[in-house]
Amino acid sequence: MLSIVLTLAFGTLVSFAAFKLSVLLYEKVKSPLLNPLLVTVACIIAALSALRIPLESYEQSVQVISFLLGPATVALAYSVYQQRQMLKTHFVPIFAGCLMGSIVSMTSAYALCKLLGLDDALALSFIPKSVTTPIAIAVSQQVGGITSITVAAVIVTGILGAITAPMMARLFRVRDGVAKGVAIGTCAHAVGTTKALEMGELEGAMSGVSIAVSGLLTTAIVIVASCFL
Amino acid sequence: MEQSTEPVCGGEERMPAPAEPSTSKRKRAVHAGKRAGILLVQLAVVVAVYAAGCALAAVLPISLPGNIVGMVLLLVLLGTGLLKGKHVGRACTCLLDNMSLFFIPAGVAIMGCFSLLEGNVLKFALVCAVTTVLVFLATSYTVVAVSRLMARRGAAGGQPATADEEG
Repeated sequence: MLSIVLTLAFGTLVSFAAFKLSVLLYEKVKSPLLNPLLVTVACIIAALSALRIPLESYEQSVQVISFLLGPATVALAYSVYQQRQMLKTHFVPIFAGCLMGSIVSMTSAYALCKLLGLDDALALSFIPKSVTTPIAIAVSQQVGGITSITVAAVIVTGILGAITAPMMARLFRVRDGVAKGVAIGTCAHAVGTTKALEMGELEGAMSGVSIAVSGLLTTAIVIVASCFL
Repeated sequence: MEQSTEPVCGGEERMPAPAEPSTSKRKRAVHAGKRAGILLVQLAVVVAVYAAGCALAAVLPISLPGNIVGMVLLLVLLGTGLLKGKHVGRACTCLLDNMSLFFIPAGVAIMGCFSLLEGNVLKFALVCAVTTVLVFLATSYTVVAVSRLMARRGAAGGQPATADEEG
């Protein structure tokens, strides 16, 4: 019993410590490439491979962290609620942006996979790649994708989005804070939102709102589409 | 244990935030303890809403993820005033501030699907990169275009323009 408790605590503590160190490193160096999530995940994967610890035992030891993703998604409602005034004034542009982004995300991911000759199960797994993990898992199961591939695509997309968002905003000359925030939230969900929060309060709030809106829209589109197809 | 800390939550919010400068170490420790207690109680509330969302999702006729139902539930509770911001604010802010942390297990699990991807790792990365750019482009331009359209219509129709234009 004690050993189980110890193992559970150990994985969680090590992951937490690794994450906090990565955040410190990121704040010191300020290079977008040193995204804390990317660094932490890379370090843990390297450690697990080096020590020959099976992935399953790691996953068991961090169940607390995985569990908290659920309440954290629920907590998004609070950021939406806090920004209800902004949401009211910009409702139509935000909604239109999220709708367009969700549609482009799903169709472009599927089309591109097909174009590259990936098989159907893989292509379907990519459909929910721009929404937050819990929603993506549910959508992936609904359309018949492979859950672990979906999660991988979601995380990679989130990290990519967080790293490239400021560059893309500059490149495409997007100066409007609302547009930047909505774009980051729609393409890179919660991982991108951490970057949006750094860019500004408005960007962060809009990004947080967009995770929720585009997540719900993606779910709705898939449900409606599955009724007709 | 949770019931005993509950009244502290309401009381604390009314307390002036900056304490007198001569606060002793002990007072500060008590204050820190109180804050931790409030955070835990609020976390319990958020987890309870999440659990309610999961339970509700199980009986709903359409298949929706439990966390989304929980999210909508919390939004409804906050919107109707059944739950106030001060009941969940700190826990929510704490959860949102550390959002990346909760993605670590999912991120590490990527190592398990290298075998599933076989020789397709490069294609996988390409799809992720290209769609990220496409989605960013489509979303931001749609927001800007719709904002402009509304501003123009608002100006023409006499209604006050709601969309902010940035020069």
